[in-house]
Amino acid sequence: MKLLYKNIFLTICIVLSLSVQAQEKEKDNSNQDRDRAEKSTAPFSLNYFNKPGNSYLVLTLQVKEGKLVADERTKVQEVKGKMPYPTGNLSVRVLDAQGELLDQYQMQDPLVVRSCEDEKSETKPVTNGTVQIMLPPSGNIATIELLRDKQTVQRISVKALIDEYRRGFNPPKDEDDQ
Amino acid sequence: MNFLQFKSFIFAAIGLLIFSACEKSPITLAIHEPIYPTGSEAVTYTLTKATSGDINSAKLYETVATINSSGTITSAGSESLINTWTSPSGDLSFSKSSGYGTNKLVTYRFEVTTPDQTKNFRVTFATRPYPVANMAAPVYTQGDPDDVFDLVFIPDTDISDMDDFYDNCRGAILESFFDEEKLRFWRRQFNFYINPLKGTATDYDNIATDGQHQVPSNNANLTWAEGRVLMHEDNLRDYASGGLFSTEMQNRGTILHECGHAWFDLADEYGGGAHWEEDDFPNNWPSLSDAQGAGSDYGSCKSSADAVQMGTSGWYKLCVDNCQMKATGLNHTAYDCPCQYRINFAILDNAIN
Repeated sequence: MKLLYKNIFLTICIVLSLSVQAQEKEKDNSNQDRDRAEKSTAPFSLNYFNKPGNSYLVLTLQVKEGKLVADERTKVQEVKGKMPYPTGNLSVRVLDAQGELLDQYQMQDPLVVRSCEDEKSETKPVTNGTVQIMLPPSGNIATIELLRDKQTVQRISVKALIDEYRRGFNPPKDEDDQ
Repeated sequence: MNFLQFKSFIFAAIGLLIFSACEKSPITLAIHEPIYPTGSEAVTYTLTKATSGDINSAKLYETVATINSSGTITSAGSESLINTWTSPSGDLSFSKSSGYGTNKLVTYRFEVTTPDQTKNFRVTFATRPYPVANMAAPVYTQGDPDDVFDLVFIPDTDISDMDDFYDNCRGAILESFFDEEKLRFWRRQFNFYINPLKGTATDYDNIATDGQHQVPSNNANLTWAEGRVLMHEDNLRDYASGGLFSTEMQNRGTILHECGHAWFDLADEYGGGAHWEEDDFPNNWPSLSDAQGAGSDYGSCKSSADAVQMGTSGWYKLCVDNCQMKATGLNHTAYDCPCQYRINFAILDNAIN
């Protein structure tokens, strides 16, 4: 009987020791990750939204019968701040006039509405409405391509809109002004 | 060793195990009230101990800056000590009875010394009204928006008492984000703002007649935030689209579930939900064998036996049934291990890249 207790005792010791070690290692790793994140995080700057060069463009487009269209309500705005951490399953590819990739990022899909309430989850496409798509602040932007599950959803030519916006932002001087 | 000694040893060993799992220093939460005070309102600062442990001493500092309508800081202010505590026994609290005035950005810093370390909690908030037109007011900001996750609270036009809305914004921070264990661990990696302009939420079942959520007119100016939440009073079937989601303002579970999507790219964990597999640390897998294979990636937390199909979706998960990515509603639950690993990855990735 004594030997049995001893064996059980030793087994429990080993299991507890391994368990404590695993917990400590996991905790150490988490704490190291947190220290690394906190050291890499700059404090909130009071003038973050006023820093020169801290801006990007937002393109507001209409959705009609499930398709993005550029119409008289389409607008381009410069927005203060930087584009958010990319999450979501809609991939946005920003291309120049030669089809070269200028930028690519993920965003939460604005062409789908998704309800999670009461586990009665349901999604449906946006048939009519307004969506906003972020664009980098500079570059010879000509086309944006939207992809879902690596399949192209839509390509939209935005060159004229961007050019018009930039002309409006920096209007050329009329002869009368000279 | 007799049976009695053996039993004593088992209890001691279990006690040691529990003790070793506890933090030596207390987990502390710094917050102020009201969350978005007017220029004349008193402000109370608290440092709450969420877990047991000793605080040797603490100091509270403040810096009051002035901001104009263009968003320019016209006076940066300087940091001054406003209170100290020596060997405090409970939670710490200090009230600033006079208001800070208008056009102010107040930064307070709790410097907390425990037996293990000295930690600083630095938080910035604006006084109401925020003078910068069409911009969200910072109400609990800690880190550079490029390095942390940002959430903008947007009031709905149906809210009858704005103080109720402000209280629920504070409630969401304290009772959702700082109450869920994994997010509380990362509590310094989140910023919160209140939008001065309102939107109008619609019911998912009435989109055909009422249209989608009417976003506030400054919505483009909020797109830098990873999450935007339209908080309303009426009971609606809520939904999300393009980084904007709606919730009844008192729902602590819905806001965490939706931030799981918007901030961390976590997929749903019920049959009818939205499913996908992330490249790094997914919480959904497209086959049973994939989920089983991932079961060994979470230490003792999970095993291949935890793999289960979500309804008849053809998608599989490892998380427990009450994981936050399955639950919405009034009360929050907790993120289970696979979700926690994804949260760790996203927060670190956002901070360092």
